[in-house]
Amino acid sequence: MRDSEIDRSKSSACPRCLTGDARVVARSPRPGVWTMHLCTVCFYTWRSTEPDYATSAEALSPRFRIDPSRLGDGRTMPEVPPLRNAE
Amino acid sequence: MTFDSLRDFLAALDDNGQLLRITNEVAPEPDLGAAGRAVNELGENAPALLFENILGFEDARVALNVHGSWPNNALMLGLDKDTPVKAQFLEFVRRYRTFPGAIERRNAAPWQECVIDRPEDINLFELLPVFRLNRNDGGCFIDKGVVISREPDRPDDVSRQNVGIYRFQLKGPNRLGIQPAPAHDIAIHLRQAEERGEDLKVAIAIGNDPVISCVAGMPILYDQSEYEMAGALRQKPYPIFNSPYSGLDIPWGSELVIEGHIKGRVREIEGPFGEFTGHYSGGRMMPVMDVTRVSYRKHPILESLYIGMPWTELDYMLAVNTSAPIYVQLKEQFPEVEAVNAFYTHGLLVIVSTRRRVGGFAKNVGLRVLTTPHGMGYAKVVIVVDETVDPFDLKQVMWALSTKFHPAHDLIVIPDASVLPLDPGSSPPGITHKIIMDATTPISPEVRGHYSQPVERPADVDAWLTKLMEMQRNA
Repeated sequence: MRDSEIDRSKSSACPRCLTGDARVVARSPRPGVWTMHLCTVCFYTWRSTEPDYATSAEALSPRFRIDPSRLGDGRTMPEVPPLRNAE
Repeated sequence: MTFDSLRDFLAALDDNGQLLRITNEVAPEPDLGAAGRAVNELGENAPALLFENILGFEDARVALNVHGSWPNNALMLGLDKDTPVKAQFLEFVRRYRTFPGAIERRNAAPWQECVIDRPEDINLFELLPVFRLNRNDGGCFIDKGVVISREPDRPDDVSRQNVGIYRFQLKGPNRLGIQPAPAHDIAIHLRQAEERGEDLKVAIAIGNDPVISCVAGMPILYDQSEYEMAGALRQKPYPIFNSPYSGLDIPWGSELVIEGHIKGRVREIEGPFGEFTGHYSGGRMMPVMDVTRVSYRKHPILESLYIGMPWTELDYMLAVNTSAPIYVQLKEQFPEVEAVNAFYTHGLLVIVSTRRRVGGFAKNVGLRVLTTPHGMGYAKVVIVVDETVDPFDLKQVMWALSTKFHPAHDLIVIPDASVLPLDPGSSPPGITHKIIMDATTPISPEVRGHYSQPVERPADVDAWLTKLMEMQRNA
């Protein structure tokens, strides 16, 4: 599917960060086999045919949950350098 | 024998009984990750895997474990598949020393066959059978593509063009997250671009001849050309094609080429991803790439590797190629060095065998390991043994450590040194103490211990060895 065909009106919950902004970003080239979902907050992706440990909030390991208010926990790699021509 | 493409090499692996084709349908998850792990557990002679029927795809193919055994690495160099590891190391070093090898610029490339040139028409999830490798990965990753970029301050200096392997997370149909670790060359390019307030042009070539993947994962010097190193290791000119779109030199034989740019001064949540340390990387704020063009051969093969708790394909691929540069760099100051084994967790642990010039000599060799380009970001534990100990034989290394190493005299601790942030023990990430363990025999003026009466092999051991092996064969 093309970028323009992604339906932004139909959102679902992300099993990892639990926000409600996930959407379908791809469909299987062989029609009707699977859909790929993307969370627009934490960028978690999952395929509809995966085991529930990847697709269900209840089954996803609690150690891998992400708090959407603390993305990356302040860890940046690499750091953004200062601009050369900055005052 | 040399190989210009992944397809050529898969055919050679097949001819040598080192390729398994899986024609039954497999699910992207969990089958591909599970098979990638399982093949590593077959042992040191494991084959490569080619999956030809992926659930939901029409004609997609995935190759795994292409470098994942000693025979596959020997075949990569055109050697007999039974070549022992130390012999592979010595031959690798011999060819490395012929650097720079030649490059062959070709006028067209097979991967120009199919092109998607409108970003809005690119959907990598549908084009490639990408998959979640380990169960808690943040999504699908491209983990064996070679990434090409140039230095923004000197874009015409091809010796500073970099070819490296970095992981990419698919974060949208045409959007990727990238991990440029600060110690890696691409981070230097990105830093310059960001200081200039620019994006960084990059190309990712996926599905390659085996030598360029090996070189891309190799700690060569910043201004050494990976393509010239590939030419040296092949002992034959390395074929490249200059992309008219990005201006970057790209392997001629790649299956698929993704071109675009890393967005300057942008960071976004990425990961986690199960890494070569056997631990997940955690989620961090990292750069993002916009994909603007994809070119590929018909029915491209997605080459990928399993990565996780060692040993995996990565540990075979980053073994000899990590040891050889450290060996050559040590030899420049210390010709007494005999061999280097940096096979463990990409050189977080390094074993060096050396003759000794004077008492205390091995400690200098150990310290030099820490200041090699690769050692600065890895080399947390360095073990130095005598030249009579084979560093590739851990039984011998453990013997040396257990009998020659004296904790009061032979342990050096370097506090708060640099290491790659992925080292799960580093604290804060990127900082760790490092140690050198001198397990060589003390010589004058370092007179201590009772080492003057080593037990020598009885006479005629070699004759008996031959006799017993024959008897065993005939039994």
